[in-house]
Amino acid sequence: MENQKFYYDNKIVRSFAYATLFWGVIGMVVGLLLALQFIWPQLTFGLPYLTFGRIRPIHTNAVIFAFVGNGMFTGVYYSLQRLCKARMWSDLLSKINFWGWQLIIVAAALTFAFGITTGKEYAELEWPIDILVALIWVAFGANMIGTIIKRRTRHIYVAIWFYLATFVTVAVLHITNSMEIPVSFFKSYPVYAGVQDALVQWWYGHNAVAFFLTTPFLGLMYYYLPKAANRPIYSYRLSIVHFWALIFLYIWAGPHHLIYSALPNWAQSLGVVFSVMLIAPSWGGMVNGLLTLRGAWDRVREDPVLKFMVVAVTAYGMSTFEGPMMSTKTVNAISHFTDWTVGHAHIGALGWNGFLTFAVLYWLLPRIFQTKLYSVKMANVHFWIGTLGIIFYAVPLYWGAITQFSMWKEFTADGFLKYPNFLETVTQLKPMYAARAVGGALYISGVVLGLYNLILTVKSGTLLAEEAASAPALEKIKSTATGEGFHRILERRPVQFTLFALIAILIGGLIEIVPMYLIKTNIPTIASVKPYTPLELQGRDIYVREGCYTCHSQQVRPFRSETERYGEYAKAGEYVYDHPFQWGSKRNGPDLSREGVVNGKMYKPNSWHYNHLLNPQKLNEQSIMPVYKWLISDDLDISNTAKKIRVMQFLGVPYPEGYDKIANDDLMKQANEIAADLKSQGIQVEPGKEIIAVIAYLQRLGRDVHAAGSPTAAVTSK
Amino acid sequence: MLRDLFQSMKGVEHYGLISTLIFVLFFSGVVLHALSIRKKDVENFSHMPFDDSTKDSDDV
Repeated sequence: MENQKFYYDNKIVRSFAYATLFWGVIGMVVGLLLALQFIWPQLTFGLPYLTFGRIRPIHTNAVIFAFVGNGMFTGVYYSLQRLCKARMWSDLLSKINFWGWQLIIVAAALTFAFGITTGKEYAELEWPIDILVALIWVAFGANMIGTIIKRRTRHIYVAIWFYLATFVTVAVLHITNSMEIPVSFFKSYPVYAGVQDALVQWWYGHNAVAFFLTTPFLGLMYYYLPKAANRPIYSYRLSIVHFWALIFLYIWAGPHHLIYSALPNWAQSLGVVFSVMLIAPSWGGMVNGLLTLRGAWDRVREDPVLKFMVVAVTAYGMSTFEGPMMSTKTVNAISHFTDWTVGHAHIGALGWNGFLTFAVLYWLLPRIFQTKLYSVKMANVHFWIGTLGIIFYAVPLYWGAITQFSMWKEFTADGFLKYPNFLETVTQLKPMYAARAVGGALYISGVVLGLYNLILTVKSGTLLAEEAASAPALEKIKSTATGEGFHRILERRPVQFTLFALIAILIGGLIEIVPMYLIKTNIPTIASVKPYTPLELQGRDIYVREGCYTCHSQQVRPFRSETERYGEYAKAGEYVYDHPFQWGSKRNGPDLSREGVVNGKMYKPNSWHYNHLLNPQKLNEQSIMPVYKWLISDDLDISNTAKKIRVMQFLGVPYPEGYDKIANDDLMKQANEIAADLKSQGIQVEPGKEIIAVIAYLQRLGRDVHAAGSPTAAVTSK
Repeated sequence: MLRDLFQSMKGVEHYGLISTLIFVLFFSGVVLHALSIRKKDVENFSHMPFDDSTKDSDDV
């Protein structure tokens, strides 16, 4: 066959590499600000845009989708062209992918700062941006599949399998979890409610970790680790088993985020079983990566790229062992809602994703700029500062988690909670939070040093924008003539391969999610649970806007230590009108789901809520909650109440026919009652202010379940 | 029809077992396939990252 000359597009690789570094610094600095707010809550400077609840999604989204996302695109655009011996299928789609992705990131940062959020972790983007994400993702996928189709190699290397699985699965997850009905351009309600919303959300949330933070990076590992070590992957056979076992198993594990919740037990058990099974393929991948360095460990001592890779793969192994352990009921009973989860997540994010990203950048940028790394020594220093940063970050959080769950669960000899005031447990953690901030600062220092080193590297070279290459065109062969098996044929056909991967991931998703919707007994209704009043609904939307779920759970687990502290444990039927669910995943503050139960363990009068939101530290000096003084000055927007009621009716919330027309009358009536109550306590506030709605919502929490009396007797089936 | 079938579904508690069996079958198939690939092919595949039709620059 005639040799064809073509050019690899390195400009797009450079663009994504720059974006990776830029967003990496931004995302991590925001993370550091969050860490410091645990020590100095006044670091919000009284501004709504800087409260923990609003900037925590900026941090998570910036790190996951901006830093790691751009890092993934950098690695994929470089390796895919070379593994396919073809330029990207469409330069236009490459550019659309790049600029569209950056636009999404900017839009995300701005909307989150302004409190425009769906209130679902890692899926906080509102519907117009969700649509943009889907379009840009499809542009990436089409460009990738187009490139694979026009490739000049017969076999599709295993790294590309991971890229394909990433594309197809993220598309499925994003679209399924983003099903929402718009109220306005910046507000929507998810079509799912309560337990079902929780299951879909954590099916998405867990698999965002799996298919955005793991599978594409495994693909990068399978390409860049052999390249950096200058030896082929230890076992290609193992990589095949690794791939299929991993994508098949991962998709089932989502419910492990909902252990001991109101999710039906069968779904929790599925999540646990498959999470534990996940250790096998995950460690298969880790072992395959590390054994690739057999006979090359001496090079690890000198080569910073290999150093970063070794720690990245080791961190992958650590977190994929820890994750399944945390999903077992025994461990989850103590680890859930504590800082253990945060420590675990950061071992993966800082170690696996962060270090592998930097390994790829250190390896790749000198090559496309036709130069040497400016300073190997500086890269080594980056490595050691970063490694220390990870340790200093994680260890205090593990220590803090042990302190946390021990204090939450400890009883006196007389059978009372030893630390009934949640704040006592927070106060104990402050030194650990300070140490965590030091760890984070160390890691960021390393990143800044790395950035400086890479800037000097780039300056010392010239971009090889169009890298010449040549290869013979791919000859067409009839698969049946070769006598090959089904999988060998599949391995060469990207579209069919993608569809097969799609089937593998859909099996788990469908078996878990479809019965949750269709089997009536999964969500037993509770007769006393009624829809929120219009004022409570507006208050709930402010609760979502402020990201209260990032610190407060709404899910009492069936442990004596929790029912003694908060009240009745959570039941599936009490959340049927919650669009979205607000169970949370971390308790920086106490659970709020029984906050409104009069005479309950958590009950506080309206005046307490007013004063607490105005200035938490005035009520308790040790509180780490930010001030929410704008809730007192800002008017509640009631122009959208009718529309919100209509959307809720469309979603099946049983407001009476025509209620949207009189909803604001009811809203003002309830607001006047709360304002009058506050006035009787010496607090002057207009009924039309946002704080009135928030108080109304908080005072509603848990009341319906409490009204049911014996929960078991009140539970009925639809 | 599918909806009716699901609504009357009994024994959802056995899902874990059924799901594990599905995986074991799937996994066995993949392992058999991986073992059945010829050694020469495996070597060729695993060397693909090194054949990108360009002059690779030196190591860092």
